[in-house]
Amino acid sequence: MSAISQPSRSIIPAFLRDSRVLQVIGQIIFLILLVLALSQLVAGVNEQLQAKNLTPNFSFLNNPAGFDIGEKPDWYTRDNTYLEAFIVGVTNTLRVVSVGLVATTLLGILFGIFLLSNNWLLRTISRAYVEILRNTPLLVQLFAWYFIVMFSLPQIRDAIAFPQEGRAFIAVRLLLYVVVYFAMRRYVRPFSVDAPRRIALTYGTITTIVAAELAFHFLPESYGDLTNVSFLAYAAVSIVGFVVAWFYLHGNLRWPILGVVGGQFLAGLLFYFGVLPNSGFRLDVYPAIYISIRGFAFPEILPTNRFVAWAVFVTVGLVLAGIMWGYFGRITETTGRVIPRGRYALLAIIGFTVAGWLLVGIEPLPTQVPVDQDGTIVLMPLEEARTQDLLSAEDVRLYSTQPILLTLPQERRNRGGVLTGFNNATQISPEYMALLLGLVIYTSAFIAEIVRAGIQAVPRGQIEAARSIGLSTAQTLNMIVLPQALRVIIPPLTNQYLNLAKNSSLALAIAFADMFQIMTTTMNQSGQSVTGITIIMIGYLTMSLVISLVMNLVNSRFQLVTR
Amino acid sequence: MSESLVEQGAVTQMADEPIIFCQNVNKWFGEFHVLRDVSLEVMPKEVVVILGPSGSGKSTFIRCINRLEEHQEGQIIVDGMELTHDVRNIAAIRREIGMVFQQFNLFPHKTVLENITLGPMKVRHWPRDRAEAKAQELLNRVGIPEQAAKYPGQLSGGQQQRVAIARALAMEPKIMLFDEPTSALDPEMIKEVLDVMKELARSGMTMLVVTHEMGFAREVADRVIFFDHGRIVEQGTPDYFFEEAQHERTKLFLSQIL
Amino acid sequence: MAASNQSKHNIVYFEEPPTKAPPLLAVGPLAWIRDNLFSSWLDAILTFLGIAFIIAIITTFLQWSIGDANWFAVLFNMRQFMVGRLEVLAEWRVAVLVLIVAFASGLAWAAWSARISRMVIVATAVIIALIFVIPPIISAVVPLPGAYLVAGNQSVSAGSLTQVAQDQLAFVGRSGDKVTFRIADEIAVNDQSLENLFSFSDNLANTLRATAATGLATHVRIDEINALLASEDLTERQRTNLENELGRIEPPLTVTETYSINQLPVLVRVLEGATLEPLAEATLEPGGDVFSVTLPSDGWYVVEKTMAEGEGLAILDTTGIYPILHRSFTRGEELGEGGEVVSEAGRVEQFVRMTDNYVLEAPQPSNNGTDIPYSTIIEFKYRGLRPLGDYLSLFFGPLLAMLSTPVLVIVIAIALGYTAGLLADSLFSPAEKPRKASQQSATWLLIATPALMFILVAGVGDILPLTDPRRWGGLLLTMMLTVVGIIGSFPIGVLLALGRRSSLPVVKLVCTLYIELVRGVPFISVLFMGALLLPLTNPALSEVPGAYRAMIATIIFSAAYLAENVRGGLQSIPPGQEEAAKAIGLNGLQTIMFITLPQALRAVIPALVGMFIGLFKDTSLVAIVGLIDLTGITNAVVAQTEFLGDRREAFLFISIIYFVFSYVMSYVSRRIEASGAGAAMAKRI
Repeated sequence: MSAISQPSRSIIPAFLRDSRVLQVIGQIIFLILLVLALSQLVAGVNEQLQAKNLTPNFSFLNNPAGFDIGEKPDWYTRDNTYLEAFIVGVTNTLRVVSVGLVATTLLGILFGIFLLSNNWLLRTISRAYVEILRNTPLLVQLFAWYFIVMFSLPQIRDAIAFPQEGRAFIAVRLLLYVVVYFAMRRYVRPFSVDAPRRIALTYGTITTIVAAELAFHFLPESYGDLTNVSFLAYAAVSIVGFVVAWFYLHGNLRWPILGVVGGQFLAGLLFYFGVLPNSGFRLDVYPAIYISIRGFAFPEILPTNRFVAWAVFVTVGLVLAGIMWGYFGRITETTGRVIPRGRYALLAIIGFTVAGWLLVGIEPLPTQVPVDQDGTIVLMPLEEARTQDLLSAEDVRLYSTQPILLTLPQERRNRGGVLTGFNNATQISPEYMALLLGLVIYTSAFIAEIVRAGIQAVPRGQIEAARSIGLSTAQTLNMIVLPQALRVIIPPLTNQYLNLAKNSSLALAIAFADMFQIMTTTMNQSGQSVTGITIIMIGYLTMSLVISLVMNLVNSRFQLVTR
Repeated sequence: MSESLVEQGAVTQMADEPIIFCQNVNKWFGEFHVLRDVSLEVMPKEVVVILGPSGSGKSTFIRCINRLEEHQEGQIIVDGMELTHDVRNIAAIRREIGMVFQQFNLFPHKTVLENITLGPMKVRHWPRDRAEAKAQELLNRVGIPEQAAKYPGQLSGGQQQRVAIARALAMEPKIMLFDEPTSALDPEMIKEVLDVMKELARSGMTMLVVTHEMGFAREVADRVIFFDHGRIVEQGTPDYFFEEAQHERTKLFLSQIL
Repeated sequence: MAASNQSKHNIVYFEEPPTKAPPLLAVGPLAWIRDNLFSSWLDAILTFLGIAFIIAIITTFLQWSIGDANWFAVLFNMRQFMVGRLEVLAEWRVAVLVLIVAFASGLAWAAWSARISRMVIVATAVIIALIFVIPPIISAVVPLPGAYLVAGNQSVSAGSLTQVAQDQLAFVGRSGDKVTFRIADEIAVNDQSLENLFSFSDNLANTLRATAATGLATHVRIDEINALLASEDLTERQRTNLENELGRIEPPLTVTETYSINQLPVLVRVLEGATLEPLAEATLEPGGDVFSVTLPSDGWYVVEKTMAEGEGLAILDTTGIYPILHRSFTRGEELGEGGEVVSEAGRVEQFVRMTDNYVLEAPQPSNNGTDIPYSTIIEFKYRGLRPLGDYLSLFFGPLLAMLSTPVLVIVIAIALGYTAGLLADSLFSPAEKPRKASQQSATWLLIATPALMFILVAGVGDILPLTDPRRWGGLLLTMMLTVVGIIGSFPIGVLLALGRRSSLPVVKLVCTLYIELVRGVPFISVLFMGALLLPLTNPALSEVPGAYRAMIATIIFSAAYLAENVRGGLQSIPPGQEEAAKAIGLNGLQTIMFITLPQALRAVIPALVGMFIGLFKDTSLVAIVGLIDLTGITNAVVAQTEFLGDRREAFLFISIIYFVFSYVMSYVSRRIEASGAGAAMAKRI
């Protein structure tokens, strides 16, 4: 064996040249430097804060907040503590983020599909949508949504109502057309295998409607005048329809068509002679949504005291549907017998929902109820109490046969009859709406790109292979394209979700009371900026972590499924 | 010129002293015992070909020799320096050993010339002129003098591997390690790489070659080593190895491959 | 069987079948339209909806832009949008900076992009020529809109306000300007004509117009309600509400009759502004001639309009009187050596005529110590729907005139840079790398530009006096934040990325913690940290201007994102690269510097550009902590009384700026990606 020769004598001892020792030493030095720097910083901060008598602590959170919050639950007043104010902020943030995530996903997928459309125009418009939104700052967009869009909404007295209030007229005539359409489908469809017959079918339907409309609109002032030009036009349309039908069709089709055309002629005559005048029925339509500069009023959805019982029914239905789905699926797999399990499952859900709704309503309401009338409790008939508006919110929930009460916004008007507000409405502030719209639309542009890229990442060969083994378009999409696309889509989608959650902090710019805005106010009032910023960071980190965890779970599931 | 340099490197060694000395080298990947008591001595100017089925640890073994992998037990002494955690030894040993990889591992963002001059300039601190002259000479030697300004992506596999050999030679190593240099090549390109390697062997370079090219082993090798399950099963001259191998595993391997 | 088959299929072609043109709908524009717009029923419906949507958007925008928008809000605040409140003395430095950047981009173009085609040169020349030619044409062809002034002695009450006509009105005129007056007979025929009094007008004229319009609208509403009440389409609740409304409505007056408009003669006198010496006078009769005065010199003038006898009002149609913007500011101090104030110009009062940007520094005319009201921009807003001609003469022409010289100079700088690049290549580049010289010089110039930017904007030593960072604003500040963010975060981000991939557990843990912590919180919280916590760490830091603090926050924030991108690039490098580097003897640092990092950075160029676009947009958040970047200055601009509420115009303008910069960046990145530089230089020549 050869002697081990040192290449050169060195003043550095051998152990200091050992890479393992060097690594440990390097890390220790790194740590020492880091700790030194941090302690320097912390010491500086501490010194300054002590000079201002503001040692960081968490106990200040129990002091009364003393500020009002624009967007708050009923229980909050300015006497509540900072902690409670912060909780309000957290709730508001979660309200925006949760709704925003769902909405932006839907919108993003929609535009992602548009980006892949065969239609050049649609594709171009979607491309413009994506590029414009992606390339301008969210803050500018939020300002635009709030200061421009929301501020140009009308005053509450002129609130935009949707649908517009009024008495809608539904003419019987329209029902007639529906009947004609279905009759045509029923009687002509089975025979309509060749083109001429299909033309005859279309022609028959169209002439019927045109003839009836002519008879109705242009003739009333000349009931019975057979020389009237409009009447001649009407008669001509009917006769041409008859002749076309007669010559195009033969055999067993002639008579049904003849029946339709004859019926059409008869219908026209009935209009013509005023036997079927503009008869119909009127329906009062009340607005469900009001939009004004003060915000958005939506119908109120109120679960009553019977809601729980009904929810049990629905749950049973859902469970049963799930069991049926699985059980029939297994039968199909083992025996090859096809069972329309989707239909059965749907039936179970609908059946239990409806039956539950009816069953919980069986128990009658008391006829006499105690109400608080000017401080004294008196018994009075339920209907009377209801009309006199004496029922408390609690009572309304108690004295209802339905599990869920859906009430339209009730207009509140002052003595002069000017609209001033709404009762029984789910009200949404313009700040919330602006923030939500801004976040949703901005993020949707990014998601659209992700969805497009994800779907395009699935090689064309995959689709061709799927078609070659006989899968349908839907099956190809469901079983081949989507699982592979989702694998590509989910990681960047997670990033966008995180961005949306973090960007919700821009609420500050448009004075929406989210957790950031409330903590900023708190910091300004209490001077506890170190603690405040720590709490904010912990808040957003937690939210980011939860979203990441959930999305990682989803992701791992897709990775498993596709393998 | 390079021959003389190699010879200069050789004269510093006593002729009877091995330039690579391995004793009871052991290595594990996690629980998996990948090298088991491998002992080997390689003399200067010796060409050693290592054969063996895939997964037998032969690549890992030669990667241990320039410490791309760390061995956990045993002793490896290269050119009189032991491979330990001593950072200076590692650097010094790598300077003396050239290596050629199966996947070439050329630097795609540098031209062929830059690939070759990088080591001499940054490690040996040669001036640019000298490094470029050396590179051009090596390119001549491997037969592609005209490709100096191109990027690796523009070359064929065989050309890339020849550039890789030139890059390794540019450091004027005493030892060359070849890790399956022809496995990633198309058949018609294998020859051009083997020719360069043969020429190198003839010039007196110490070479450790992991390969499946039996013809090369027969023609060039001074010694053939057969690896299996992380240990040296049998070794000998090519004539002995291919004609009179004793061990069952060697025979089985040769019967499958020949 | 086989025989019968053969006898059935015995057609033999003796001639080659002729090549036929494809059917009409298989190729050409028609086929394109069918395939891309009308491939199915649904497609056709979507196409029509899309066309309707586009038409709706475009017409709405044009109507608003031409008829309604107050583009003065953008034109007059251009300086603020661009440089914020930067000292006037430092303006030339920004101009130099812009030219350097333009030169550098021209050089970069020559170095990396395709050669400019003749088409592009011609098109650019034509566009520049048009920019220069169009404004004079517009001002020659389309006259500026006139102004409506009210004279008379009857007071007008609208709502709770009572107004009277001003007898004297000061205005700014230039030598040779022709000012004309006449009684606007056609406008006061009845309320319908009065409703269309669209132009510059004083408050009273506008009140008359608004009152007439409201009155007419009220009549319409009354008719509408009556019609509704007569119909059956109302719910009971609606009926009650409408009856209530009808009860509230007071029948309006007829404006023209109530105020006996344009019935009596008006005495008009034009006075010299400083001395109040009369220049000319005339009595205008209803239905009479035009009274015209040619002004002798630049300066203030006063028009005096009185109704000698009787009671009534008259609406005068005048030309040559335009709205004036009043600016008042402190002119920057000049600092000498050692920073002492050499000269302080003090407060400056400027009056700017909005139609031609003529700036007058003479004091406002006064009559025995009381200032004579002048045609302020607030009062002299353009009211009503603007016709295209007025839009062109007021906004479009001036905008082009404002842009023409800067655009020309910038294009010349780009062209110079481009030519310099070509020249350098032909002189110095070796044959095998024909663009080496231009590429090297462009790289150096691009590297030097950020430093130059800082030197030029912030200032150093005597030649370039220091500027106040609190006055930096607008696009300049946005750019500075972005560039500093990019440059500053680069080394830190790369170190963090390497640290996170390190085999040393402590370093790895610390880097990972930093990256994940920063990425988990919003940018705005980091900005707040910079604004609130940074001063706490050291008292000296509380003196640091907000711009610098925001820069530090930006660097802290974007370093974490950059680290993640770089880490992605490092992970994409095959491990063989590192092994090969070690095998030729490079040590760890050399391996990173020469082998892995360059490749990793090239691989992540698109991701980095994406991140930088994000950073560019995110700098807008500094507006929330009170800086006046492009977004912040916009909020300040629309808070001025003159432009109160002109948010649409201002935000649209800055959105376009943001969009153009982001889009250009992403376009360049896509080009780099497509040219394959990111794909490991496989095809580079």
